[in-house]
Amino acid sequence: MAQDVFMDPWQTATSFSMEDEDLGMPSGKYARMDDEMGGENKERFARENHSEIERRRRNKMTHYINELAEMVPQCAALGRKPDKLTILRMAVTHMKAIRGHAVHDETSYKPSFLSDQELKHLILEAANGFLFVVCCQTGRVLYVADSIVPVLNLKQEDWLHRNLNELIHPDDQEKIRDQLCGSEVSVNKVLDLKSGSVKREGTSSRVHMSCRRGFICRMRLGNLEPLHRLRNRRPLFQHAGQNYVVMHCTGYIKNAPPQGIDAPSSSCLVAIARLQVASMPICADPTSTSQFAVRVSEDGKMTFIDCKVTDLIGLNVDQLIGRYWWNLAHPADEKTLQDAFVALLSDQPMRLQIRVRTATDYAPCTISAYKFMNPYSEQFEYVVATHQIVTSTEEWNPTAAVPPQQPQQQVPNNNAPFDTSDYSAAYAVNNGNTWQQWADAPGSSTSGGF
Amino acid sequence: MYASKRRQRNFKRVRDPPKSLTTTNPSKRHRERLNGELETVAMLLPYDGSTISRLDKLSVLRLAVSFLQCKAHFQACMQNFHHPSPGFPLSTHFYTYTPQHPTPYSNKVPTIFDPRIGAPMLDHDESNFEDIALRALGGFILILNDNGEIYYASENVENFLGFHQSDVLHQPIYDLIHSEDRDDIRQQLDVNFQLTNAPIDPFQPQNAKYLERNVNARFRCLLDNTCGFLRIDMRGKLISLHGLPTSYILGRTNPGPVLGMICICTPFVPPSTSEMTSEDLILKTKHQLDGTIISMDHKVYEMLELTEHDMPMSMYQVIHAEDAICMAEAHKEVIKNGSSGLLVYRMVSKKSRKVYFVQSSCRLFYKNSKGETIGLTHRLLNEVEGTMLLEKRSSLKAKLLSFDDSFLQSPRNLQSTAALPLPPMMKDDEEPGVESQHPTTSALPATSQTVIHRPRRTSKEDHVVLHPPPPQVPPAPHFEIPIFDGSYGAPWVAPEMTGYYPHPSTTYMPIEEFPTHWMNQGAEIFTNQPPIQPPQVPIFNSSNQFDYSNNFHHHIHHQKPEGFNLISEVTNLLGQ
Repeated sequence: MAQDVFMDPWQTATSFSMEDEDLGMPSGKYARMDDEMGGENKERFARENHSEIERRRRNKMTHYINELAEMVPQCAALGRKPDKLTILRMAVTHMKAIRGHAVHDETSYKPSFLSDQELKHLILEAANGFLFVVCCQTGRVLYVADSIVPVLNLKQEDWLHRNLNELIHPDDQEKIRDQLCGSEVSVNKVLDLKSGSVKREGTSSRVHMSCRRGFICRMRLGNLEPLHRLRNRRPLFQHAGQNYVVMHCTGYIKNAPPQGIDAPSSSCLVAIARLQVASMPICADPTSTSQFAVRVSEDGKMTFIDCKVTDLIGLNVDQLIGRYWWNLAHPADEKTLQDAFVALLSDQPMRLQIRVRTATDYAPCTISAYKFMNPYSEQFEYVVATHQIVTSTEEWNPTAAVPPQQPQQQVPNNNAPFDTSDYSAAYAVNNGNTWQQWADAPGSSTSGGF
Repeated sequence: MYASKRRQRNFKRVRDPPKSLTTTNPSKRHRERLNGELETVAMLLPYDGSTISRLDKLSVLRLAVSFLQCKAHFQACMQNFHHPSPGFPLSTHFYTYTPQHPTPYSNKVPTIFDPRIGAPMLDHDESNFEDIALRALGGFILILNDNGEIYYASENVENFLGFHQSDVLHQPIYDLIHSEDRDDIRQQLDVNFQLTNAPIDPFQPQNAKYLERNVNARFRCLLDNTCGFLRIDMRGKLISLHGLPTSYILGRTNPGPVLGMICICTPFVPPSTSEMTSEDLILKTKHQLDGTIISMDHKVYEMLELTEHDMPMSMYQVIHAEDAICMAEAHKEVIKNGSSGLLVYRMVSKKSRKVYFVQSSCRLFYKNSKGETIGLTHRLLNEVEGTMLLEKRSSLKAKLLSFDDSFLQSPRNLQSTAALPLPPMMKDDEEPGVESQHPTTSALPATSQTVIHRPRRTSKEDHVVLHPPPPQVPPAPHFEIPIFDGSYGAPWVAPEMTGYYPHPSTTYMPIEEFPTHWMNQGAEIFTNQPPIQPPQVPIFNSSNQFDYSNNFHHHIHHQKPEGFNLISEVTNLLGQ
């Protein structure tokens, strides 16, 4: 496309008025130029440039009209290409027919490029997403779009009027509660979504700065068979015989008293839940689900543990906070870790492989750790240690649905490479959660994140 | 050239009264008839009257074509749905194209719950599916054809870019995108982009992942609170487009079905909504030069479950362990250059350990031309936004990212320390005679004796007890140590431990050396000394014996990808 600013389609397509261009007379800017400048060279240049612009404009118009002819079935059916006027007339008829259909489908009179159904399709295509509305006070689903079906393979009836807690992974209930009952919603009482009773606000609620919401949670799936799109490297979580998939939810809180009615205010979460498109492969992804970070203070005690530790080794942060870092390790590896810590304090970042405890057993783990100093004062702040749970390279067979093997006694052998054939044991955590990778081998493509 | 605002022209849509016959000629009459039909077409476009009245003739045609193309696509999809043909590529899911049976509320969406009635209710001002869905999405939908033209953009594109839907339809996307990012988009439109010569048929359902796309680009933005461009994350995939004009299909160089890209476009920096002013969304904290928190906005205390009694405290204690490096980089940057670019990281609350994703910017504040305090402005991100940005931070292209948040970095917010939150009130056990806080001064508060290395400052009044200068801080090994000094520390190797620091092929980031006198005086940053050239660090590969002296731990993080730069450096490089 030429760099001619007057043909820039973004600006007014023409600097001429409608009537003027019909007459083919120069007008607008160039007309003024003619008057003001007066120089003959400039006049000629303006006219030449102008006719070039004009020609390009006409070409574009012809191009669009030709495209229009192809889009209108009646035109395409004609033997030869009709004249412009006929094309336009047929286009009018065609558009009236289309708009006519739209009016019957929707009761709203608001004009829109796409119908609701078409928009739902696009949201499905782009993001595998569906719209839902939940009442914040009760957690009850007020609305869910029928586009939930191809995403979760559940029917609208499976969601409508149910409590959201029944539809998401139990471990995410607290997070959902935070999103529904944040500081934006003026509640002193909190509905205990588990027991259904109302209680005083005990723990502090999450701070929200606006009414926008965005969170990640695991939603329950229906029958897995038809959900071929989930073969796209999405990890599934299992709990009590149900499958859950990670969904990204974005939306907003709507606070509203019903108009003109003296009624308690209600709030609703309006959100779109979507299966996140897998991102490009990323190395050292901080959102990776197979590693957790720990902060160790000068005395060797853990002062911070990423909450992912619970999913990875089945131990709660509460169980670990304040304990010595080397308590994480297999008894035979404790001294190794302790020595490593001492070395770290004298400025030697390192990486080592030991076994860490899980709720039931031990898991091979690669630890990368370094001493973190305040960049200004050079004071010791803490040691940061990242624990990467070693994953198997064996391919999972998702249809086998084999329960995790019983943990075997591992013979401590620091020099041999770890036997990872029963790594499933590492994931046998006490509340029965396991996770399996759908179809693809873990570690072969993405970091295992969403 | 970039797209810019349309010149507002008042096109009169009212038809001129018919002129007398003697002044018309056949061609004028013909033109009038054409214009008349164009008018009718315009009125049939799905826009309100005022939008239609602003459209010129070319745009009317452009939009008519665009409208019919979209409808033709769905028509073809619906036909295939009812009568599937094997040659129809990429039919993805089994969602029906027509509503099956009357659903509750038809397509209206209830957004109110009255507990007395116990039933969902419609809000008449907000019940339209499209409005609600697009608002909840937090972005706009974009479909590009394989030519890079905008096949469809959802109406809310106006909220993000300032362009109306009617401005952008059927226009080349490249006019909307920063010139440096255009090739990235072009690449994504290529069906072979992820295939890398593997003989894989991307149209098979099991290979669907090869059609997924995730790219970000700077879009031209006309809204006031941006610098002209908005960085946008585009996530979606390639789909087949149907019902396109034959001339278009035949005119392409590639054979096969027309593949376009459909994606959800979300800005990196969420736009401020009309409900809350931009200032309300910004939180501020005030820090000493070593990062120790002096004071914070009330909401930050609430967020982190801290009280003033917990102060002072190192800011590194409230940051997620994995993000310490990121904060340290920004810290160094702000000390060195007076400000840092945007950083994305996580803060964790003390008691319930809630994770907050935060986007922050740092600024150094001076007193008597010496750096005195660091002010941070923060914007809370939700988990979805935060996760997305954290992913970008660690991606290989992170060094090319630059995005601006004019609220976080606006002079209005960071003009003076007066804008920063006030420090906590004096405690009883503090030294008598030390100046107590006047809420209006911006001087550093006097603090308790328990914290070392906190320089005491005089207030504006002179009756303050002067305290001895802080003890000399020994020069940091990171800032001064020569690279090849093997005497730094003998490596400790345990026999059964693989104590290596793996980094086979990464170039370490050059160590910036600070002027030596800076360490002695504490905060004299800006002198007239020329910048010292950082020594080049050798490339570490596994064949080298590991040399601990090279290992400045928090300069070079093993997880940091090659060439990771702070966002602000990148911004300066790109020089928007």
